[in-house]
Amino acid sequence: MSLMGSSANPIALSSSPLRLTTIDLNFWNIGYLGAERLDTMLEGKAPGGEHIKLAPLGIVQGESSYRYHCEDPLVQSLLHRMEFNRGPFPSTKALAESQGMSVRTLERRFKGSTVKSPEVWFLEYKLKEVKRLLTQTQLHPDVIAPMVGYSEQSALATFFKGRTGMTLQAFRDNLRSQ
Amino acid sequence: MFSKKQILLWFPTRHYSGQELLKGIAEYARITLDWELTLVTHSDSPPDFRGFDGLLCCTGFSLPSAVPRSLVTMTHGHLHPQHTNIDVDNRACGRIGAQHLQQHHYEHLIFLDHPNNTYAEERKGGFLEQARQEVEILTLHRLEGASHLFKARTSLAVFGAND
Repeated sequence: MSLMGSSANPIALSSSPLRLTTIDLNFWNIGYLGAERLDTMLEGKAPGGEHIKLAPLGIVQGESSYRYHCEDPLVQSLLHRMEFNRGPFPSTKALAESQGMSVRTLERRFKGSTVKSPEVWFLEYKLKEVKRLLTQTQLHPDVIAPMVGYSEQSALATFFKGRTGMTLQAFRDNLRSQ
Repeated sequence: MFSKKQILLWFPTRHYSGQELLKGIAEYARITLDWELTLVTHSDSPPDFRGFDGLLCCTGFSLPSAVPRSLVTMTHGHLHPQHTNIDVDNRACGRIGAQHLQQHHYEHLIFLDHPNNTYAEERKGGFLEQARQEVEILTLHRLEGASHLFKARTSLAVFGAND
């Protein structure tokens, strides 16, 4: 079952046992645009009476609905499990055993849907998630590390540098300077 | 002497939406430099509007007549036709929600309604328009009594519009 809502407080969402998928209703931009319109009116450049509807920013993905989807229900289920696995990669053998099938069959079906092996998909997903957290939040790497399955920030830093050639801070600084 | 425009902000900030509105306004004020902001968060009685050049408020309040001529209302339903109003496109919100759930192959959709709420009504319109399939519309009260739904259906999604 999936649950989703709209405009929920990110702090409340992340503190919930199951992080809810929600829709960002764009309140920040409503405030900014409201101020801008008011300023235009104060300058005598607009009469007022406009009615503006601002589109939501989009989905804020949580754990309560799938992020990735594919036609194969078995692979869909594995993607969902790996997506919210906060630990290390569980090994293809363990995944195959959990589904009662051989490693070879599991890899064939997984690649058939994602063009990647389960481990490659998992590590690429994890990297994307770290980049997302660095980009969209102000969270300290100490806080990000356990969110993506590392008990220490240093382990996360090693993983990130090994894949991107950049430190976590350099990646964030680079974004800010753009 | 350089005189700053006096802007009154009149909306509650205890919820996330009000806090985000405030951040957006503060960012604009930071850039323009010539705004001085006063925030009144109480909703029980109207503040004293004298001395203010402009007002930014939420339309959930019933506006008294002696408001500044320049005002913008933001979010929350009760529209004042003569004033500029900026609001969420709730129909789009419903459409985005249904699209997300469809893309992920949820077969059974429940829309958790909030009766007599304009926002929920608009979201429902967008949700049903996008879904183009059978959608069960329940209130929170009825959802609590509908445990059979969750037992019987594996590919079930609930979109909550009851905030």
